[in-house]
Amino acid sequence: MTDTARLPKPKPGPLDYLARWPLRLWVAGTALFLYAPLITLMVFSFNNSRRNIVWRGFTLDYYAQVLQDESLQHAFVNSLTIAFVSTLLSVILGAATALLLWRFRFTFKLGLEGALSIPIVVPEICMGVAFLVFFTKVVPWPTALPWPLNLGAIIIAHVSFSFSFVASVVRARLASFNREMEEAARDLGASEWRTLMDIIVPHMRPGLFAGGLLAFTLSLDDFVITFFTSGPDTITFPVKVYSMIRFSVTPEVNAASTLLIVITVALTAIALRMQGSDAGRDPS
Amino acid sequence: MTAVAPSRSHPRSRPRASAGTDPLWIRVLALTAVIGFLGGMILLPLATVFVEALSRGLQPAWEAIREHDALAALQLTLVIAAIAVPFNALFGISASWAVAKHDFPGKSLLVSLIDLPFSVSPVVAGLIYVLVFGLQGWFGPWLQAHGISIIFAVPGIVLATVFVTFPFVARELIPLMEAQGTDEEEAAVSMGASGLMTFLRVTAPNIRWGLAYGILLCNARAMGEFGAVSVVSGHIRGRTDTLPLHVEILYNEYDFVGAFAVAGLLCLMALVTLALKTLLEIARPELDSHGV
Repeated sequence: MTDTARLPKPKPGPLDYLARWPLRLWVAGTALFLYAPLITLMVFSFNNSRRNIVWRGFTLDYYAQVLQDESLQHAFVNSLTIAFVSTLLSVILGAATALLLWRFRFTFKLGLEGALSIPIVVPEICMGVAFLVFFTKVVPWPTALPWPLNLGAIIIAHVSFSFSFVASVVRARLASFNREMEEAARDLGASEWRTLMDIIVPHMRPGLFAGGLLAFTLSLDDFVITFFTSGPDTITFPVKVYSMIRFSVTPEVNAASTLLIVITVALTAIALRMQGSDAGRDPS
Repeated sequence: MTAVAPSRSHPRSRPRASAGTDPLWIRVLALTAVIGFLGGMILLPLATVFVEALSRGLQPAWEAIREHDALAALQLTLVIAAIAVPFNALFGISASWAVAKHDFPGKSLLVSLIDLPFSVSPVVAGLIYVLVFGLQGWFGPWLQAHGISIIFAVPGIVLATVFVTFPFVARELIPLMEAQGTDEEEAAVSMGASGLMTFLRVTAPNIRWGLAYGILLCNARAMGEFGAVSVVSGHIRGRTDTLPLHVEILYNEYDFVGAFAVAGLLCLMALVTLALKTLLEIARPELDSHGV
């Protein structure tokens, strides 16, 4: 927690603001307030006690209970299905949007690019209630569909916010594309399509992966929009955890949350690494 | 990140495949596709909010916003943002200074920790504070004995908001500061400037646009957060009810015009953010390249 307290320099120079105690205290205190509760949550999911306060020994019982709980399993399968399908669709739509905005010049380009960042700035609750009305009044979504199809409304809602994140990431990646490569390919006789598939798409690939992982995590973590678009049979994992918290905070909740944290943190770490490495590797 | 130049800084014109020479039908198709995606997936749902809010005219919508609980929620939302955003800005500056300009053991751990809140579900972000400060949590009994309430009160909402908006400023500043290096600061120090003076006169002007951008995104999220805040807030009308929570309460009470009016207010605040963000991007084009 106190990484910054281990700065190697023995005598702080004028620029080593962080070697001074007020700032160290500030950083360490912030880290403590933010991350200690998170670690508490994870540690106490292994605690052999119904109550969360006293440590009574190590156990995996709560994980076993979580993994055997049918409604949690159902919610988890729902979450994964929604995440997979919405990621696939967002990557396709997001990449296409990024490519079109990059390749063509439009009259309202600034406006279109602004629209792309709407999901980043507009509160999720707005999109949540909007989709609720959208799927009841504008495009009435049938409720009594068999399993994967009843997730359709949630999937569409998820695509709507995650595809713009994918588009932003892919667009940042495309900005580093050296257009001389494209010209060279065209000079050598490649068709537009061939140039796109053999030259541009391979360049986009790290962005596509990073964007896809981002979309997957966003979808898996999302609570608000799902909360408003889900019905009794289409509960997802975060929504289920939320209703469990409302009931009472039990070690099962800890275990379920820990699983969710581990999955999403791992995915985000991979996504951020890919996003970071592709930017550094290819200066234009 | 900064190694990626934005597209508009590529003046190299393409003799063959430039946009102007694309066949008209391709351009029309492309424009239709973009407008179709953006319009159908983003603008249409957003428009629904305003249509619903104004479905019975301007008057009921205006009343819903001017009503006592809504004003209290607006005030709370602004107060929360006013605490959480400066806190995160200050932390973001210190942390990115440490990460970008120094090497120390555990640096990559600190970077991962800064990014962590992005990948924790908001519901879990709220839960961790309930677990520690809630009535059945670690400090719950002690806090209650001393008459301090954190969960189901404003401090809990602040904590949860700080957590979910934590990475925004630092993530903008770290790549920026890394690219700038320490040469200018070292020059200032070698000419006798103090640490604080160096920061105020040299570092701060260099990072101000990135900082403004990070603060803007941080603020948008702080005012709009629902999931984490919903877990730690007791949903007490007029007291621990933020604007996003108020939307849900009104909705659950079948006050649709009210719910959508308040949601519309939130959207308008977000659109102001968006306008400022676009202005910042024009003022400082390399910000474009930051994905999220």
